[in-house]
Amino acid sequence: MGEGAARDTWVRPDGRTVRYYHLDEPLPQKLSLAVVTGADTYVGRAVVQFLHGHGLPVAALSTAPLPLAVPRFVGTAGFGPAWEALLAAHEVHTVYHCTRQPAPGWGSSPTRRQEAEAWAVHVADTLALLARWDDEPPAVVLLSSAAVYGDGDPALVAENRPLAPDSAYGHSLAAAEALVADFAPRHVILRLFEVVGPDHVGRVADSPETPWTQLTRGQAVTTVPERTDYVALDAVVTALASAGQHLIDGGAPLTLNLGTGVATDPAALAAAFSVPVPPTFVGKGLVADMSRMRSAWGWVPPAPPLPALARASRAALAAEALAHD
Amino acid sequence: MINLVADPLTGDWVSLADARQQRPLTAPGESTCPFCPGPASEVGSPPFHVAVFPNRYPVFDSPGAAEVVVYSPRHQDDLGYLTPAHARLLWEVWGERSHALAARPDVETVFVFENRGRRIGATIDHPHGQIYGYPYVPPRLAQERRARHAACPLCQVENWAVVIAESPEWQLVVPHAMRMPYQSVLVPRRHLDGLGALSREELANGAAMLQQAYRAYDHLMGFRASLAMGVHQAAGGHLRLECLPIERGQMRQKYLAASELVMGAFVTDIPATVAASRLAAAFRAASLPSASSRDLADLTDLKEPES
Repeated sequence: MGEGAARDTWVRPDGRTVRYYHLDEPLPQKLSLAVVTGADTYVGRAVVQFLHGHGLPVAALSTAPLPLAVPRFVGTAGFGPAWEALLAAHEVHTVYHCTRQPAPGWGSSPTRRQEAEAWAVHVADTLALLARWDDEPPAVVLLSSAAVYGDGDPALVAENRPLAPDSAYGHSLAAAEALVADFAPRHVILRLFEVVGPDHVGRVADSPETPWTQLTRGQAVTTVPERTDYVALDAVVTALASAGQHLIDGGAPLTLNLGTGVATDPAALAAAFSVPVPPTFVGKGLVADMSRMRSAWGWVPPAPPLPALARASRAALAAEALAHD
Repeated sequence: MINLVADPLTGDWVSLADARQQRPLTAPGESTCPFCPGPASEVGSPPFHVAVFPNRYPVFDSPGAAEVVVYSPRHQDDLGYLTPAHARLLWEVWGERSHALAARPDVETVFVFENRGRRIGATIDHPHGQIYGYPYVPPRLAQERRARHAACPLCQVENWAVVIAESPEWQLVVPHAMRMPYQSVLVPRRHLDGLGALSREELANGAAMLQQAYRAYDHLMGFRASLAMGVHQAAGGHLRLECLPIERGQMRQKYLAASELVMGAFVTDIPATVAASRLAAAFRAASLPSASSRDLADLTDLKEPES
C-alpha cells in the first residue's frame, strides 16, 4: 500500500471477511450547484442564463445543445445516466424542474400518444428525478401550470381553489405536483397562468408558430384560445429564481399562482400590432390571483406585457419567424 | 449451488450459479443499497475508502473465487471522479487481491473488472467492481494463447491500434479491430503481466489515465457512459485495461445481436480512426475532474456516417 494507506478487517456473522482500506485524506467535498432540467425549453434556457449571469454555479440537463457556457448533461429529468455523471462530480442544492413540452403539436385536441407522453414527461420523469436521492432530495422548484385548475369561471383563481384538471396535461401536472409535495419537503410549485413571453425580441414560448410570428407574416392567427395573455419571460425567470432563494433561506414549502393577474384585452392586443385579432383569439378567462405571491416574497407581477410586445421590433419578429421557416 | 459445465462443441466453460437469481436489484435512490455503510450493509459500518469482500452471490466459489470491490462509501461516487490518491489506492487493492487470488491453487485466471452503469448489467448503482478467480482459462485468453504471436503485438502497439493519448508509462489506444464503438485499451509501455508488477510511477499514471478515460466517455456522450472495463492479467502476457462502452452515440446504444452472440463475430459501424479522433478530443477535454461536465458533446460531431 502507498503512503497514508491503512487496512483492517471485519469477519461478518456469515463468516465472510471484509477488508477495509483507507487513506489519511477525507472524502472531498463536491461543488454544490443548481440544476435546471428541461434546459433547452424556452423557460429553462432563460433560467440557466439568469443563474449563470448572476455568477451562480448551475448545470443544465437538456436533450438539445445549448449556446451557453455552463456544464450540460444530455438527457431528460428522468434519465439516470445524466444524473449519475452530474452527481459523480457535484452536489445539488436546488433543482429548477422545467418540464419539457410533452410532444410536438400539443394543442386543444391531443392524440392518445401525446396524452401518454404528458404522463411520461410530468410523472415518470419527476418521479425518477426525485428518486435519485436516498435521503431528502434537494430543494425543488417546479414550474407547473394553471391547467391543474381546469377550465372554470372567468374569475380570479386563488391557490386554495380545488384542483379540477380536465386534460391529460393538467392531470399529469397535478400528479407531478403531488409527487414533489410528497417527496421534496423543500419545494415551491409555481402554477403558470399564461403563455411565457415575450423576451427582449418578442419571442413567445417555445413554438415559433405563435400569434406574433403569424401576425408578422400577415397570416391568420390559428393558435389555441389560451394564447391571449402573456407573462413576460423575465417575470417568470425572476419568480423561479426567487423561489429558489426562498428555499435556500429556509423558507416554507409553497404553491403559488404565477401570472400577470390581469387578462389581456383583445382590443389592446389588436392596437399593439395594428392588425385585427380574430374573435377566436380569446382567453379561457382564468386569471391568477397574485396576492399570495406578493405576500410570499414581495414579487410584483408585471403589468400586462403588451407594451413590451409593442416595443419589440417588428423586424426582429419577422426575422425570428423567417429563421424558423 | 455452482456448477461448471463444459461445452463439448467448443471446450468453453459455463458457470451455472443459480443462487445469483436471488441477488438484490437496487433501483436508483432505494434506501436498501447493500454497499452503503450501515449495520445491515455488506460492508458494515467502519469508515473506509475501499472495501473488499467475497460476493454473497458468487459466480465461482472454490474452485474459483468471486470478490466485490466497493470503490467508495458514497453512493454517488464514480471511479472517474475519485481523488487521485483514492484511485491509486483502488489500483493497489486490485493488485493486492489479484496477487492473493492468483496464489490459490483453485484459481487459474484472475480478472478484475467493472460493469459501469445499469444499462450494461450492473444490478447495484453503488460504485463497485468485481474480481473473478476463474478456475479455468477463459475463452478469450485461450484464444489469444492459441494465436501464438512471434512478438507481443502490444509491445508495438502502433501496429495494433490508433494511439489517442500517451505518457512515459502508458498508451491509451483504440484498436483497429475494435469490437465495440469507442472501445479503448490502456497499455503499459513495459511488457508487464500484472498489476502487481507496476512501479509506483506506472501505477499512479495508469490510475490517472484510466480515470481520464472514464471522464472522456462521459464527455463524449454527455452522460455517464455505460461500459465494461476489464484488466487482462496473465502470466507472460502483456497487462492491459480494456474499456468497452455500449454507447455508439448520444442516446444510442450498441446492442450485441445475432452475429456477436451466436457467431462471436463483432460488427461496428464507426471506423477506428473516427472513434479515436473523437475520443482523443474528449480525453483532452476531460483532463480535470472539475471540467468533467463541460459539454463536449456539443463540440463533437457524433453523427453517424450515412449508410
